[in-house]
Amino acid sequence: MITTTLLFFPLVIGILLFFLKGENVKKIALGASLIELVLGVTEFVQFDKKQVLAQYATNIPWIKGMGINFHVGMDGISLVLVLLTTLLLPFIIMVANRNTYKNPSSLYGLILLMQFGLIGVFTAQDAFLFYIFWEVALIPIYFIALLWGGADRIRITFKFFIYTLAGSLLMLAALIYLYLQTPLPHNFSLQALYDLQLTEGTQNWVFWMLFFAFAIKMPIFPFHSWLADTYTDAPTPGTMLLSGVMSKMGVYGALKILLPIVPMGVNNYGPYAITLAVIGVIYASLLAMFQKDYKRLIAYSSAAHVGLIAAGVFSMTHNGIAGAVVQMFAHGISAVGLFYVVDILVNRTNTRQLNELGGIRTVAPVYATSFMIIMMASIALPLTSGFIGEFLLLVGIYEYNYWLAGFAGLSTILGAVYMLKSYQVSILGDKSAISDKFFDLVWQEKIILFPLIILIFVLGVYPKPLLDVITPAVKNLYTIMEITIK
Amino acid sequence: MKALILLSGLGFLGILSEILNFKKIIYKLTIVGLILTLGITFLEWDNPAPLQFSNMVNFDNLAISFIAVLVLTAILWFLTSAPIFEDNEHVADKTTLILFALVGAVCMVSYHNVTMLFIGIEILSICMYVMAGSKKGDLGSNESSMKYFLMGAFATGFLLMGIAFIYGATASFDIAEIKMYMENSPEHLELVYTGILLLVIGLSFKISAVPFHFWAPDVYDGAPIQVTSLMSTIVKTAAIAAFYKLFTVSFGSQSETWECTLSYIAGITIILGNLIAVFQSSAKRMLAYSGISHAGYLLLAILANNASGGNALVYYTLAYSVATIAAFAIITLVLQAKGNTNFSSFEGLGKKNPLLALATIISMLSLAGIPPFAGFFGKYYLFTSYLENHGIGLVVVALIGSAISIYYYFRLIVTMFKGESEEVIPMSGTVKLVLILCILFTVALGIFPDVMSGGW
Repeated sequence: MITTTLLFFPLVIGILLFFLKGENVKKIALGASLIELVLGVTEFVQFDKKQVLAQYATNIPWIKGMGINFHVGMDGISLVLVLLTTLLLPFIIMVANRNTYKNPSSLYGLILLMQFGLIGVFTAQDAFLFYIFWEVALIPIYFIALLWGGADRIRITFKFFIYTLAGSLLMLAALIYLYLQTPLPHNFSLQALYDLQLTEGTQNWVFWMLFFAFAIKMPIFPFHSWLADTYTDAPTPGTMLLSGVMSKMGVYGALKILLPIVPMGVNNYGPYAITLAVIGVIYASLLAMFQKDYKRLIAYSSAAHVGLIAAGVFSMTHNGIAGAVVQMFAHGISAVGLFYVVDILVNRTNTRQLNELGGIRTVAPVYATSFMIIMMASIALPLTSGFIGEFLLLVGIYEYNYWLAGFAGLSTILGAVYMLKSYQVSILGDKSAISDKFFDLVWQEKIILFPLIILIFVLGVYPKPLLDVITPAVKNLYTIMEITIK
Repeated sequence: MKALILLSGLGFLGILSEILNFKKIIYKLTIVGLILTLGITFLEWDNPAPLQFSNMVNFDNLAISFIAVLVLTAILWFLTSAPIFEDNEHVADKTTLILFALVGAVCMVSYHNVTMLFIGIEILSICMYVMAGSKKGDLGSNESSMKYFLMGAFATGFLLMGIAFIYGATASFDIAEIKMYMENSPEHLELVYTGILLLVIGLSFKISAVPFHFWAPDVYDGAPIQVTSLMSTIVKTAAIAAFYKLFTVSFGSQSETWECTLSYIAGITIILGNLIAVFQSSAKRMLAYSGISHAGYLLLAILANNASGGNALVYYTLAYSVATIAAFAIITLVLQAKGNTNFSSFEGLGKKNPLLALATIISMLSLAGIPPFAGFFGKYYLFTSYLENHGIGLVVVALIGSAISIYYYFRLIVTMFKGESEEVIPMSGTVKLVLILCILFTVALGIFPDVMSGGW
């Protein structure tokens, strides 16, 4: 029941917001997201770590003739991502509050609808429902980027939409095929799809159809070409939704659909997938090094991190998968933080060009320090949130193949290079004319940034609660995969 | 059954209104009558004796569902088309013609005898030929009417010839008897095959499937926009329902003779219709070509050759008709405000017209088949019914077609948010009502698709 509430509450409030006007909209949206956060945390606290099946489940028939159920619930992996979504939403809404957008009621309505779609994706226990939410999540973000985006928004959002939709159509075709393989009467529940005894040949081609859908969403090289434009052009709340939460949809899909349903396919073609992921990591890091636009740089760094997460997933090792889940959570927080500090920078200086900035530390020490800490989390320094996940990921990839791990490890170094270099140019160094106008954080900004920083340290020092729920879920994933391989 | 009588009665009332001079209220009377018909149609659900009039018509649940779709579409259509009934010129004629067209459509979805099918098609077509030319002073309208008539007559020829051949082999017009004949090792195969081929051609003309589609864009473009809206909803629904019934009931056992041809027609229709729609600069023409591609999707239900294909058709035609009526209502509004239906006329309209924008977004998303709207489930049902006894090949083609269609449907949405126009489009109360109804239908059908897929 609690999952259903968590799911539909943002939908109801979101629709309500479309009909409201004025300043109240901001408060209602923030209030709604905070209520969601409380619900999310409650679920996290009450979660029974010993039980591997989906908890807080609701299962009622939806389309009887087709064997489709409205079946939502959470295992450990879902729980972590639901917690991430509910945690980030208040921050995203507060960031939106800091800027003035025209037609705010629609913007907040769409953000909450987005939350509905995202939580739906992360809790669906029925493959068809998963697909529906997968698409539902796409529509609000498309409109957020289209209506409040930058100058070239029409072309960019179009590319983004066509790209991701093409991928999901492939997924739909694969899911319908799998559905028709289930024993009569056919049904779409994930459990039924896990129980399928597919031949190796079938698994091979189903793997590719599903892989394309998830690879585009993450995105993995060479399907990443929509990413930088979309991230840069979308309004900051949209960018945060995209990189903080939506990029995790692809990884989650790989964990929840790809690995357990076609393990032999992953076994056969995983090497290609993981190689693509590692190429993507290096490629995105190199691109990030040469960016002059700050937001673009962070967009590429985000792509590099998600690439590493994908590599961990396809390594099919326990550490790799557990690391992927932890890192999804940590990356969500650091990505939102990074995009926010850059947003502050852009709002005050009206430029995103690195070479026009400089010497901000002298006028705004608190800002500079906050920036530094969030950056440290992003480049995975020990004691920050990024470390534990990235460490597990690299261990997992090492267990799989030490050459790949070597290349993947480069990303940490490259990440440090481009992050520190950009920090040096923009925040340290000589004061530029533009930086003169800069002033330090005001309290509204502090209440966004400081909780994020606290989270970064808490997660870096004490990740145990998170690992406690992830480990059994990953073990369960292994048992499912082994059953299917036999 | 009662629906057929009621609609005919309404049609005669239309003629009487001209003579007895109450044509001022005939428009309202028609809408009330149609709503009544819709209610009475549902009362006939699970009819114990569906075959009536010496087995000429068969009002089984499938026919009843199609009639409900047709009448509902007609109600929505009448509400959006108030302008053509306001100028007081030939009001009674137009009302009557459309009501009789509806009678023809009802015959087409409920026939049990091929002659009845033929009569239905003719009643429908002749009314539509006249309606296409109803803007007498307009060159485009006249051209459209003429083309429609010539092509329609041509198609009718094929159809009649096909029926004759089938009769020659089976010595019956009754579709159940034809079915019996086909199942018990038919003798005059050459007659049967020729007949089926001619019927495929004739009916493909009527649903404007490629390569028999050449008339459609010009006719759709030239006809008054309200008539175009009628042609792409009611006419298409009736034609595809008739097609489905004839081929699954009568020729279902002979599927290997027509399956290959029809598969190619479906595939080419989907791809070509969508591809050409991409390059249109007028929204009206774009919808005409997209209508062609939808005919291709609908053919999948006939190819499926099973009961779930029929269910899928009912659902799809309803979802498609509702979204199309909304789309045409929007285009009509823009046409009235701007004088043309080019994409450029839509620029910036989304900013100051929230209802217009929402209706456009939802109907386009539904037509493009994006979940959770009705159009998605329509496609989904079609594809699964087809996959029940076929391979995945044609479905992949259809999916590629849908991916292409997203481009032009989204183009309309995107255009509405482009530019800096501050224009507010005036909207009458009834149009607002229709748009809201269409939005609600499209969303509700998407969230509760089960409502429509009960067994018959």
